[in-house]
Amino acid sequence: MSLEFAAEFLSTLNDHQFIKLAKSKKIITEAQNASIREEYRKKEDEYSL
Amino acid sequence: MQIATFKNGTEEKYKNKKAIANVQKVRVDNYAKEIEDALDLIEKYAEEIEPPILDRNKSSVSKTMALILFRNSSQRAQNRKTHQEMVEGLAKIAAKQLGLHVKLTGLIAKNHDIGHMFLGHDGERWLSNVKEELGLGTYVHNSLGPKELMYRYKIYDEIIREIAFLYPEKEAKELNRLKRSLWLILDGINCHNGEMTQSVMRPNTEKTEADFKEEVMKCHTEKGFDRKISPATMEGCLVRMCDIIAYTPCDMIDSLYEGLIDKIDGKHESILLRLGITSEEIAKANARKNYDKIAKKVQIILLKSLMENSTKDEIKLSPEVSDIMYEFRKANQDIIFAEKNKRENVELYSDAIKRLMIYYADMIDENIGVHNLREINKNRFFAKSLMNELGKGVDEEFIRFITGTNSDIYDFNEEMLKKVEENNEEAKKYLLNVECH
Repeated sequence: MSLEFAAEFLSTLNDHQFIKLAKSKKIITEAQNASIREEYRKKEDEYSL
Repeated sequence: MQIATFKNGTEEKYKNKKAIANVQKVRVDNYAKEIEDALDLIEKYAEEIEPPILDRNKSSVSKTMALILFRNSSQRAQNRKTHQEMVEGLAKIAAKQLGLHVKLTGLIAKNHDIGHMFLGHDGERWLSNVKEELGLGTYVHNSLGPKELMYRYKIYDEIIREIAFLYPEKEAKELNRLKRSLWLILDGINCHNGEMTQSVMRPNTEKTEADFKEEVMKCHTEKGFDRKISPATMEGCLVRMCDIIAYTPCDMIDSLYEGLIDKIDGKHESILLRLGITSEEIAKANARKNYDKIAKKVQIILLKSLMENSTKDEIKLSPEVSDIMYEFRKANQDIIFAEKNKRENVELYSDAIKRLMIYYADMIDENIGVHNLREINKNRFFAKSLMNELGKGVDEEFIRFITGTNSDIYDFNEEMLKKVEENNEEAKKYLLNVECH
């Protein structure tokens, strides 16, 4: 029941809320988030070249 | 083979109602009298019905296809809100020409993606996988929207309350009839997922409200069930087809704007040529790096095929256009999947979903308890103080969720769990273990 309730809760989140929760529970760390951003930035640079 | 050509000024002419006035009217004549009355009643009150549903539509600004993981992605790529508005626009044009209920079509189309959650289709698949792994059924966005509206927000009551407030002179009898009709809107939303190859849609005119509720339930317990169901109305069928028409060319131009492909060539070019787009237009778009006009033109060509080929029993595309559309979607998917496989952070998000789910489940099991959840679900202040007392801190999103629910959602879940147990012996074993733990 509680697992199902937790799944219900997660399914109501949008992108912003999900990332915020994952970060606040230290499931996604600031460092990981920063490295993801860095990875995108690199890709964007490649494309713009 | 060239399917459709647009000579100079044809598009302008096409916009003129008279130019396509000869399109066959497809209003179904084999509906039960009850359904026909219900459709007319929704059409009459559509403007009052819309605001409460729209209020619940988060219209997430996340990107629609697989590109959601690009945080810095192009502003020109479509998001959930723009996609829904696009489907609404296309579906309304077709509904008007086909003699269907325009406002009802608009209501379904504008909210058809209301059940989408974080990280788009990827998030949906990951959460669904975790649920299956834990023996808790499945998850699909098409049925989450209607389920939330019906059981969590009690949307029928809210709509009727609003209309009764705005028009106190309305008879209770008419309002009751309207309340019994509202499921047709949610049914259109619930049935908007389709097979990739599907080019013909026929309404299930035999469907009742009880059948619709059963379908919502089964979408949460039986994997792939969402692909088997048909809407009760022609309007629902139309939205499902217009959804595909809207996103097929947009997925291609999103890939271009996001830099997954450099320009229109190869497979995409040959598909567009077969649809009637000229090579000059493609070259011009490639040179300017602006593909919006091509996407709009493709949508018009597909919509035209739909309007010309639909009959009073079904909404369909011509077989040639349908084949081309299938190839088009296949070409888009190949690009998207290739890109997805390159993503290194896919595992990270997938794992995050699982860990968050277990975190909240443990919090309920060990600290709050299901019984307390029932008690606190109507008291935000109590929920906050309880969380603080337990040393969990104020988890705003979670509190908003539990205080925003009502007892029905628990009943729904319990019934759903029973269904899962019936269907899945493994799930039963897992659930028994959880109880012991």
